Amino acid sequence: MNCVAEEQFVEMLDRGGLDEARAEERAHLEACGACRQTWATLAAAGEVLSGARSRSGKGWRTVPLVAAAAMLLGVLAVVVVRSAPLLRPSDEVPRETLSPEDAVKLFVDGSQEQSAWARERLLEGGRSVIATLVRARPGYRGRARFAALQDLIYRLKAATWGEEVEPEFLAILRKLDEMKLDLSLQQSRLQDVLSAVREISGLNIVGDPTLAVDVGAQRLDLDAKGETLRYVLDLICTVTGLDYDVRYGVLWIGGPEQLWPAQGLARLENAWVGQDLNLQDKETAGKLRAIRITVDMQNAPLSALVDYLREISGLTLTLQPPAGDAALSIKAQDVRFRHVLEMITLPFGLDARIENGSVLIGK
Amino acid sequence: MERGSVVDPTDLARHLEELRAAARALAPSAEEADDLVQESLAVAVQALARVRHPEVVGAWLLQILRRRWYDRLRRRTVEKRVRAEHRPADGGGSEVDPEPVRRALRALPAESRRVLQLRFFDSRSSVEIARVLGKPCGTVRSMIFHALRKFEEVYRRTLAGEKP
Repeated sequence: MNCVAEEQFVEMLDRGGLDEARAEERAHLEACGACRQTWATLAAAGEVLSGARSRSGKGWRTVPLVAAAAMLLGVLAVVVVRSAPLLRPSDEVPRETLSPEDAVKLFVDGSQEQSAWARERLLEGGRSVIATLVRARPGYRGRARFAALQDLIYRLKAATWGEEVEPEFLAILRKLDEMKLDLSLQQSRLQDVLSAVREISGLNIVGDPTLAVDVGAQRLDLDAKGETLRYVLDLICTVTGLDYDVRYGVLWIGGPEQLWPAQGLARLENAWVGQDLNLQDKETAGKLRAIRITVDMQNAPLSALVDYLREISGLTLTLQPPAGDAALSIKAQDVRFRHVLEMITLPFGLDARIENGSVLIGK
Repeated sequence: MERGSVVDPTDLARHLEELRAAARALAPSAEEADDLVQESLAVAVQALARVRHPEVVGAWLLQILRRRWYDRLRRRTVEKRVRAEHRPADGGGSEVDPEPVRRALRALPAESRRVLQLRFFDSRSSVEIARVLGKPCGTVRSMIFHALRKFEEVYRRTLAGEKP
């Protein structure tokens, strides 16, 4: 392996650092003193910036908003102090020791002021607290602030989306908020409920293939009249302990820990996207972006799926050992080839690279 | 691989020379460089159970050494300020004072500042930043790489009391 490329260092940071480095990256760091120094410089700087973020709150991007909020709070504080002694949540629970679980409790069950304070702490936590919120939400069903909790989870997710440029991404977001559904299902299996939502909405709703088979078999009641698609999905996920995200060009349903890992970031694209590509490889990358396919396979070995993809795309796809041959189910209509590759590799800890015009799938 | 069972403290000795060299590049005197190495090894021994892969222990030690150096510079700045203002000193632990970070960020070109803010303050991944900026992901990662290196250099200068 040659010296680690600039982009690869940052990718290692994105993945969560040395613990999540690939075997060949670790081997190279062991062998190359210059790369070790570079890693140390970048990782230490990254730690400083992350540390400063947690110490300074929401960061500088929102300074005007913070200033405006501070002015407003200043006015409110004068009013409140005149009427009653102000109980500050920060006096009761030191900010540093407040766990996300405690913050959710304070947000849902605390006084209005405590709730607002806890909300800010949770928003500061960003993506790292989403899994905790998702796990906790079934316990708060029926509470007055349950809808606010759902909104908070959605807002934290939306902050991870950036300004997506693919039109299908924007179409999914639009439908989530604009499409209204009437659904009444009793004791239906989760997979049937999701099929019904998929059919009515016309959206690709894809379950993480690493989810246990019995997850789809669990039964639930769903009664929604004129509710938004987002509300219905939130409800389904609350009941089943799952969550959803807009990724891989589809509405992706998975476990909260897989969607929002506490350490590092879930990978959303295959390695080829960050590769330096030659002319031949660029042509392959262009096809991965442009070709759209429909795939509907149930319990198919990965090798069979790769054979199918090879056949319909005309691309050279190679499954490299030790990629394994896990059986998976996947159903998606008219999606970009690149996203199908992401769906069948990233959840399994696999990846796809382009070499000499071929797509290599492996660890 | 089992967490906490793979690295022996004596493995750290293999990296001693590399640590010394790195410390000498940072510290102004050989004595201070040796102190820095000693302090970093002490921290590393305490945290050894967190290392999952023994082959990256060298990179991990260098990372610790840098963080300890920032702490030393920060403590020095605090001590100077305390002497000037006659205030009690802070604990000097391994924490980050946001003010020098702000100053170092302000000294960076706007584009570098933007990618670091998106990556570390908005917790966005490179892929998400690429979407925000409308640039290829590889380009964004390269931008983050150069921005981080520049930030580290400016941050060290800021902590040392030099003009960023």
